[in-house]
Amino acid sequence: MSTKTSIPFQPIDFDVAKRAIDEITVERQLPTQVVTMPTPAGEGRVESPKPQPAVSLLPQPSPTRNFTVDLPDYLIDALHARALQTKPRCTVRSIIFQSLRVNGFEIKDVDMIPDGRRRNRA
Amino acid sequence: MEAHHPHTPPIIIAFASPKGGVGKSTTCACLAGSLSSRGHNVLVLDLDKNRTLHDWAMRFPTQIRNIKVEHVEEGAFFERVRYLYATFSGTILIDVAGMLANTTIVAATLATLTITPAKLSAPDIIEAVKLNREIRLLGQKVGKTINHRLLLNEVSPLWPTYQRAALKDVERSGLMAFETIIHERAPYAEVFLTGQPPHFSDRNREPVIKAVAQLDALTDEILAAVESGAGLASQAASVGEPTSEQKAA
Repeated sequence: MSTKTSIPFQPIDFDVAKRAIDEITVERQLPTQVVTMPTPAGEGRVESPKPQPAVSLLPQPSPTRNFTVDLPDYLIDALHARALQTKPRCTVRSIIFQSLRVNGFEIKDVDMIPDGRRRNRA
Repeated sequence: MEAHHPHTPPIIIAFASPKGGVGKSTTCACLAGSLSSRGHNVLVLDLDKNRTLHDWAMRFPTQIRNIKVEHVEEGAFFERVRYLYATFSGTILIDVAGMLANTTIVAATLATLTITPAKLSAPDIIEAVKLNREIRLLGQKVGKTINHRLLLNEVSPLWPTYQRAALKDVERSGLMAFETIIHERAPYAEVFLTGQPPHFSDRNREPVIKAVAQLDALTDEILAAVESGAGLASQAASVGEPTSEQKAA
């Protein structure tokens, strides 16, 4: 088992090597990184601007509040069935909104969301 | 009276590739284990910003106690090698970040041997050829024939068609490659899981036995290449410059 390699090395001339390396780095435009010394207590540190919450430029749905109505079972079942049968599928809420619109109630287009899941993504 | 021993400069082996994911850090760790098992004093310089090998040493200090690992910032690299060259005796393995940068040039200039691991796939081989071209130009500038070898890594033992095609590309490229091929084996990848290079793993496991055999063959080849590199360095042979024999003639 060999434990040590004894090789007649040609000594490295670091000054010559450094000059050649610097020359090649500039010539080939190779990326380099300069060592930066740590500064006490963040001296000279530039704070990056804090990220701002994204603001949607699309019109936002109107504010809502909860409103509960007791309906007959068969009507609730029928509403759910209609929501499932409509292509593409929509929510019970949107079926009620459409019916109200037909009866002359004003409902803004931005509030007519056929698929309730999209509200969460806005 | 204490005898004065002249300082023996270290062997410097650089693992460099302009491409990431070719297995530089894994091979470096496995070779460190192999050299350490042969009694070499091994120091690994980790230049990778991800600090893969440095973190390995931090996580498994007892498993790799014979191997020292040090993270070196890019800007301090040249001076660190200059200092180690004057003070350290043993083998320095350098894990260069996977891109063509100033550190690649520094490592290739100062190393006794530069190894480029590459998988047998077209992108890896293309990048290895590009690096070899850069290294040859560098050698002309520095006035030194740089000892550069390709190491075929993570080769599938099933030899699929794309590997055979890539091997033909290697042969056509004229790159000097090690005869030893590193196959895709679990013990190599396990280095970062258990902390142990194959030479320090359970030597009763069949995959470990095979990995150790491959690494031993590779280590022999590397040490032979280092020796030939020392020969190359001692020649006054830069490309186009006549040798002393040619001058005399």
